[in-house]
Amino acid sequence: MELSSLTIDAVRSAVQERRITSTALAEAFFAKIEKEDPKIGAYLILSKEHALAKAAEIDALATKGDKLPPLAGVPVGIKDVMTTRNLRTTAGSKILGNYIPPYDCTAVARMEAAGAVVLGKLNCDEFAMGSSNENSAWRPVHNPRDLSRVPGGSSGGSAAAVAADMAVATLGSDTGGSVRQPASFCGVVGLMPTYGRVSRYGLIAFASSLDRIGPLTKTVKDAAIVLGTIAGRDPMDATSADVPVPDYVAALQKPVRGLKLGVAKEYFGEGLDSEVRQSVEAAIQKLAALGCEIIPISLPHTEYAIPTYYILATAEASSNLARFDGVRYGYRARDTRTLSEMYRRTRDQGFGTEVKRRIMLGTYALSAGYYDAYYLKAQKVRTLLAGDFEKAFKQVDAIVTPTCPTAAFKLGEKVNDPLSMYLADIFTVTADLAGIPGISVPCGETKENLPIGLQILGKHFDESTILRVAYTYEQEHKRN
Amino acid sequence: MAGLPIANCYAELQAKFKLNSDLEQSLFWHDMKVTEKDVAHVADLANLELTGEERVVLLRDLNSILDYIDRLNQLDTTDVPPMDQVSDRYGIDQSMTGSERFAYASREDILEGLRKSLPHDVALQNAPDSDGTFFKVPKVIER
Repeated sequence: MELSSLTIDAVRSAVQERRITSTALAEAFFAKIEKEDPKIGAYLILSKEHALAKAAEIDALATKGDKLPPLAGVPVGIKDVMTTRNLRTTAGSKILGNYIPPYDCTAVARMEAAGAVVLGKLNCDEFAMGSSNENSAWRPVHNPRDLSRVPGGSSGGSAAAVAADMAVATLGSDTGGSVRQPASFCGVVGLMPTYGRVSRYGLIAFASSLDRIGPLTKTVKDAAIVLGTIAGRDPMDATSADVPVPDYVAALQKPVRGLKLGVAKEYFGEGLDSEVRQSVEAAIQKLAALGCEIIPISLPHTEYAIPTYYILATAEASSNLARFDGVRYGYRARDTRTLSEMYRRTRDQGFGTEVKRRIMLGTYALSAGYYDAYYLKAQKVRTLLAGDFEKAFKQVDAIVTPTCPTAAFKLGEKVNDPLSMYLADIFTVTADLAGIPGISVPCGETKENLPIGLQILGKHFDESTILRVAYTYEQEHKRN
Repeated sequence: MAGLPIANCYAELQAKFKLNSDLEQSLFWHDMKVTEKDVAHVADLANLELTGEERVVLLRDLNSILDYIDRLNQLDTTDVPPMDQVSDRYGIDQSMTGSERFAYASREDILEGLRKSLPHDVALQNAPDSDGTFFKVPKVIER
């Protein structure tokens, strides 16, 4: 069986019709990982025993002739910021190097309940803080399209695993663009659902008002299937919304004719790579030819999104990461004489440079005398940014933009310049702050064969529309 | 490099990172937002010790990032309410007010209502040090 052509439906029906066993498929993926991953670095931890046990369960169901659940036998990978019971979970950090969670993340549990076979945990920037995956405490990830380039981040392993056919689908997390930006860099589909659509229970917290779990897949339809699996109210996360989950797959088939798509001038300004611009503009033309009405709009506060984000996200992170103190779990510094010294040494040795940088920035922004000037100010600007989208969505059904200003950059290119690294998220971070959903779908390549992503942003809880636009575009793009 | 006076570290780092002249100015002249003292104070609040080298790099980075963040002051936000979360605005019944909006999220306060508490041994399984009953830590004394 050709692993590169496998989608969720193809796997389930092959296993259901017993053309292949789930066990053979899992073994084929492990063989592929063993062969390819040493040069890519997408996986941190493999769960072979657990995966083969799960696959055997699915095979038993298939042999009995039972109707299989939607993700039956589908080999998936999980970003290492989601807890997996009895399977080491590090968040890409030394401070959690030996952490064995006693519980499953809700999204992971729902994937497994739907029949998915978890192959292992995927590399990422430490605590999901980064845009290139170079902040992983363990090793960087290389972009499968060009090994000298980054896969994007922070869900770099999740994107690279799908791009290199080392998983059919993966889960990533998005706080400032961390699902969509790596999807764009690696040429796969990445979906960030509305805030509250998917439970955060078991997602190791970075910035709680922004963090979201979302799928990375080869096709838009697969993203719709995974979203339908993991979405919905979870009593374990009080911020998970009590909003019914529609049939996302059925919604793909509705025509896009007559849909109003907004194009914001702020996303096509200075700093946008000319090849990215060309490719995204061609995609918009294509959507127009399919009957969408293209409407120029303005999102005037866009330029303030990055500074707003770096105050709010770091402030929340400084508070969330206070729990890593070497007492209950994780790394503890040796040979310390007092509790205070133990805390400090543990955190000094356990956290990497970028994490410490963000804890410092966030602590500064929350400290006495600066709270109003930075934190409160940023919360107010967040209202303005969300307001930009509210106004726009009175006029349009969805907004189309480039996912990133450039294609994948080289490893090492931005490591010593945090600000320029932060700017890689300039088109993705706005949706995180506003709480709206967004999807990145491949829309072409540069002359150097690097993938380019088209981003589609939608109204709160209207994933159906952005999935439908992405799907229609994808089908048209494939035909040509 | 730890332990050297900050100025010496800076000279080394300057060579390493080829700091541009703007940045040097902001580090050594009056318009520096964050000072060495601030870095020490914030590290203290954050329970970090940091090496001399790390402190110098952070001094540079925090100043350069905060300079960029200053552009938020171009906006007049006098009458703008702060947004601290998404879930009190979207995906809820707008006709409700206050905590009524989150009625769906409340539950009976019953023991083990959502999830059984972890058994003692499981709760301690990740502990760096324990005696089987309690987490063990070094001596607690005042800083």
